[in-house]
Amino acid sequence: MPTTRRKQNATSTRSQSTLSFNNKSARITKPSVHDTTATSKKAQSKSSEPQQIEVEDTPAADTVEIEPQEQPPADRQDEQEQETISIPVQPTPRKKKAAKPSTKSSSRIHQQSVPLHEKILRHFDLSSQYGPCIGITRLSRWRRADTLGLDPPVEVLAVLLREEDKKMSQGCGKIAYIDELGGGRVGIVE
Amino acid sequence: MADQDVDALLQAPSNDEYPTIDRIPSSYNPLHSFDLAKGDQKHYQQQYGDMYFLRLAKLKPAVEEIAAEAWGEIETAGESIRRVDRVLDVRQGELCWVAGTIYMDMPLKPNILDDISKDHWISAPPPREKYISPSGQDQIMLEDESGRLRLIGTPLQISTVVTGCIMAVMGTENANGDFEIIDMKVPDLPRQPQRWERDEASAVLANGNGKSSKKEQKERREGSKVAIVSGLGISGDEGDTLTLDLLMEYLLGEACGQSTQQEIGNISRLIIAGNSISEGTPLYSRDELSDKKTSKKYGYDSAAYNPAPTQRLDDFLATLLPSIPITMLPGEGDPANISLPQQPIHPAMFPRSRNYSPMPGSTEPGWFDSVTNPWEGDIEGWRMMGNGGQPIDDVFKYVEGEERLNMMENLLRWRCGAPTAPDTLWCYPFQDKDQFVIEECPHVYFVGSQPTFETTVIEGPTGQTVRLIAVPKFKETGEMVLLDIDTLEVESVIFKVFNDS
Repeated sequence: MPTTRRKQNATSTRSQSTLSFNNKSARITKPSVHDTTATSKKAQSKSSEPQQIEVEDTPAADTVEIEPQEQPPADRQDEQEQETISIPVQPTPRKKKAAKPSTKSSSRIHQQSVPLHEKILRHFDLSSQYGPCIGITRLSRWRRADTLGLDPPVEVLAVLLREEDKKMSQGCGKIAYIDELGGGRVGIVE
Repeated sequence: MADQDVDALLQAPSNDEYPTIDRIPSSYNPLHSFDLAKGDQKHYQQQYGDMYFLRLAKLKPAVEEIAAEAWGEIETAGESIRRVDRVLDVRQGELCWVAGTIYMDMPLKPNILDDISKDHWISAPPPREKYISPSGQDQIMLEDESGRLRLIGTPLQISTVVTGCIMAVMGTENANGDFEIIDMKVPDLPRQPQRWERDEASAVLANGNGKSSKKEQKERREGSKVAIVSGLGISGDEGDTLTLDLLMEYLLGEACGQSTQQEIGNISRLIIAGNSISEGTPLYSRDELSDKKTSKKYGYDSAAYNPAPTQRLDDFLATLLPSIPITMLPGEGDPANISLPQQPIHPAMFPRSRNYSPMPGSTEPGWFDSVTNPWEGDIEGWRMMGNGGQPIDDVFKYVEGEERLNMMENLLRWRCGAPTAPDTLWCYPFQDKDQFVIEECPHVYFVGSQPTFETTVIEGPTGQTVRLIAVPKFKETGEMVLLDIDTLEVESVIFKVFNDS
């Protein structure tokens, strides 16, 4: 049933467009050659511009502070309501809601209770260029992708290592979300 | 030279002093690439899909480099050939190239549904020799993490492809959605290390200076040979082990005359490439097992257990071991695990031979080295790689024809030791590294338990040369292979018994 609720967030800079079925996202044909946004495989392309990533979160979310030794860039600004993480490292990862302004017509209501860390990790899970996410813990998958030279985003490692720390943890799972749903029982012991 | 010996054996005993013949020592440095963790550390919860991902991640850069070099500058009708990232990104009518894993969809491959049908009907159909369907129902597809693409075209009929090998294909998509291939490229042989490279590297690390010590270089004797045998097929029942005893006496230097014994003294090592034990007791099918009433006492069924084959093998090895070092690979019929890589046969099977094994916990390989299947290591500086025959036998089922050497060459050129591994060949679910990917080109590649003895030399793009040896089953042919270390030439010694009838 199409949703008719309007977004309450006053600080949103994008006006809410009406639902349309002529959208690019509704097409089921193969993506065209010049479509550089949608496929996650393209995430490996070497774009060096900093990507503005808008992550919408509830106003009560904690600010995301990454330890200085985890991440190479030191300039990370955290804002309260609308958090913008500017990542001037390359290759820049496409975080989930980045670069899809044209296809997004409404907020993801079902994901509003999902913490920020978990959203980042879920996006990492579904990036197929790092291999299947089922049957392996997220941290091992990151390390494996790193060993193979696939350049996984270091921010995901930052999130994973913070999850290990009980104080900063936002309660994300050790294994992929879809694996958990499927009854995954991957041994956590390394 | 054997002619002189014929007269020597038919003489009366003489009082001449014969000099003792010494065996040349063997310089041996095995690799432990296929050792798996033991006990609790070995997990089976991984998915097999990881293995395909690892193989593709490792080999895709290599094959893309070769493909870019070959096709990068070609211009046909004013159009250059574009490289495509994912298999699904090919466009109709556009000439492009893409790399991925081959998957062969064959209806005659073993199917889990056959097992289920066995429950309902009388019995499953007998195992097939080849999976190729005669009516051309097989489909060859190129696969990567995005999807699959059906391949057609003449290069497929010329070159052999098998599920699991990584390839780059160039062509265009036609109206049906099939990809018509014009050309294809394989990763080809990897870098080949120099002879003695590993030993010198470890010597440099140990000594801390630039040159390996002269003492070690003196120890490298010339003129040694390595004997390779496979498929001994020892079963406790048979009385006819005459050929086996002949082999034993030959290797010990007890057979023939002085001149042959001098030559035998050059054999520095024996490699047993699998299938030392044949199936002594029949394997019961599931239906027969439920009917039998087995009494299990002390953990094993004493009526069915037959210790004779392993005892006989242990006697054979213990007789040879004081004289010659042995490297033993397990095979399909041996008491080791079924899935590749087969772990070394446990020393508990060899109560007498294990005196020659290293102490548990030591890192030096012992005189009797029970190793994994497949196996790779350095003998006299040459990198040798071998297996008990299962990968080649499985590849045989996918391709037409009987050319085993061709399949072995293809295995090396695909850089994959067991390309059919998770598909139809049982293997351990590797998650961190696909151990079957061949990273360094061996100098000698031997495969055991093949139908006939065959050998050839293949060459690689950067000057690599590999000696391929297909070792036949000793039980059937009585042949043993002798590899000359200096020239890498191969000869075979045949043991036969004259039939009276």
